[in-house]
Amino acid sequence: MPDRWLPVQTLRVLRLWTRREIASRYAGSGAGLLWALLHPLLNIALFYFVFAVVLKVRVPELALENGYFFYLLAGLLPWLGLSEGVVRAAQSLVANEQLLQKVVFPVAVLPLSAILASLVPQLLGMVVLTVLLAFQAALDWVHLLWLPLLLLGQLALSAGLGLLLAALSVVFRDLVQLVPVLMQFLFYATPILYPRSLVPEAYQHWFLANPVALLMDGYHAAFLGLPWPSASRVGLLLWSLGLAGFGLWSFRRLRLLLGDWL
Amino acid sequence: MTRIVLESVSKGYLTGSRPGDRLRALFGRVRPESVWWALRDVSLTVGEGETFGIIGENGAGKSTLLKLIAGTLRPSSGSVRVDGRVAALLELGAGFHPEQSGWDNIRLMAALAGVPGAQMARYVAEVAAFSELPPEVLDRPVKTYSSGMFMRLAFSAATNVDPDILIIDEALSVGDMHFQKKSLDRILSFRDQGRTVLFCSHNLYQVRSLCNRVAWLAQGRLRQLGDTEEVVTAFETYEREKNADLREAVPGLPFRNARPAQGAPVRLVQVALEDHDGRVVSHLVTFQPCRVVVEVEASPGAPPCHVGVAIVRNDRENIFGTATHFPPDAEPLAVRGRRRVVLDFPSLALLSGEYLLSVYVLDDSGLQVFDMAELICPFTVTGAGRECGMVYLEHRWCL
Repeated sequence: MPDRWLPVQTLRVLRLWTRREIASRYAGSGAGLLWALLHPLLNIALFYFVFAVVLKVRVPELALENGYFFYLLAGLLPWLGLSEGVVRAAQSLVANEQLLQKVVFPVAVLPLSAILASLVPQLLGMVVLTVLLAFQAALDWVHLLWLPLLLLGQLALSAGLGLLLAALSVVFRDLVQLVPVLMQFLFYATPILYPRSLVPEAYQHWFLANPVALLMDGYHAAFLGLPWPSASRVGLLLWSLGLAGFGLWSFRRLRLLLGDWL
Repeated sequence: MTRIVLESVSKGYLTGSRPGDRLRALFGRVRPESVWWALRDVSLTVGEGETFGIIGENGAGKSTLLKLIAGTLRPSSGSVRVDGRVAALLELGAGFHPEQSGWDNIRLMAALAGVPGAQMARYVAEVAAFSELPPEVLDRPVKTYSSGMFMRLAFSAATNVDPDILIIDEALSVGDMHFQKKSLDRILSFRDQGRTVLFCSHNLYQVRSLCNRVAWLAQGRLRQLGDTEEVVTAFETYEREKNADLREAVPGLPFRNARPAQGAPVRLVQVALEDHDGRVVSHLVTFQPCRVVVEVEASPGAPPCHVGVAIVRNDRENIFGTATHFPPDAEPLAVRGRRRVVLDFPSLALLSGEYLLSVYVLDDSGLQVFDMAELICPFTVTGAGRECGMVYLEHRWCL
């Protein structure tokens, strides 16, 4: 055990532990990554059928044929990455409590690697989405330059949320069961299945209270060139910094309680 | 130079599961009844180059103490100071992942041990060599290993770091004999290099062989701290006596039967352990002559009887038992009034330890017990030679 964890040592553990997460999550079975992609694919097919075919939802700003399909993908892919990461991060400390008492460990690595490993299907999906859009000649490459920043923002949001929930779960075990329910709620409070422009004007400002909605604004803008109001950009920046900071702060305080309960 | 300093360290676990209790605990308000103290007020110092043993019963707080020193737990009060790089082997294979290859697991253990990136390749090679697992095995996922192979890899990965302090919890009995020897040698070499080794085990033989000082924990408190032999012997005596519910018996006095069996035709009155001069004794030396004197009393018209005597160690282990009806031509004893029965040991071959007597009065068949007194007349035997065990067996070395 090092006297104290230097950033470079922590990063090395994070890198190896993330690799382990990926290996155990996606390569445990024969079909490997295919299974990991099956879940989002089924989700997309289902949502597309219900909302585009049955309910005939359209995205008013998109002239594109199949516009809703691309809108759905642009939002659902990062959502699946984010929500799986947050749910797994929230469980990570409680699930590894025994390990953490036996091995001296930079504890924050556990929730963070859960979040990083969840990005794998999302990134693969985004590559496919980009290719599809390029085939439709509907891609504005300049907008894609936002992607790295958006991914960074997504990481900050999910890390903040994941660290906070992981630390709180140490004290309140029931939270682990509650997090998926909360994420479900957040999913419908975020413009992923429906275009934001279809929401009545009176409710629009509420989206500023939902950082994931602001993140989706960004992804929709980056892939589809939809408008991205500056209030949304600033809001996303502030939320990312604030949530990451608060998550880190609360994690550092609460994780000390790990192992204090029988 | 001191490596580890514990100053009145206590560790309490919170037992409340109600969210309200937990919320209060979050803000430092804990109801005293909802705390279970695993460790109370333990102070000790371990110096450089010491091999320090920790013994005690299950639940005495040994593991908690090691976790506090390793740094995976914080003390509730008091202070823990540790100087130097620590390698903690609290559970063999903790942190291993079954789906990953041996190599990947070694790399992760190295990263957790803080091995710098530049030394990583050398470290991995050393661990692989020490484990004696061939490269094609290390390519496979760890879940395909036999438990012996797994333990070899785990021990190698955990102890190949270069710590100032090595903490080991019950990890020596790993792998096959060959590998056990290797791991013991590794601990010995740590010791001989002047590193500090902290060692917790139920195997008192290993504690005796490895440690120079020992702490005995009992119910979370430090019961005794000192030289290995002294503390381990005290612990062994305690363990044995705990298992034997001793009758109230005063060493050095004959046992008088205060509650003879009601209605029994022949009753036990008194038992004494005497030396050959007829003095009642509570201390003997191996091979010293001695005798057990039993006094029985019969009601008028009582049938003949037999008497049995057993020597019992203080953990109730029966060392030797004999009775008057065991010889082939034995006749039952006719008792009118009182009668003394003497069992003579011309040379008592017991080795060092604490012992007791159990005496029985039986009917003429030797099956029905008329009266008895178990675990009486406690006495101590001190061995003269270096032989170990309970009794001295006749033997010679053919060299």
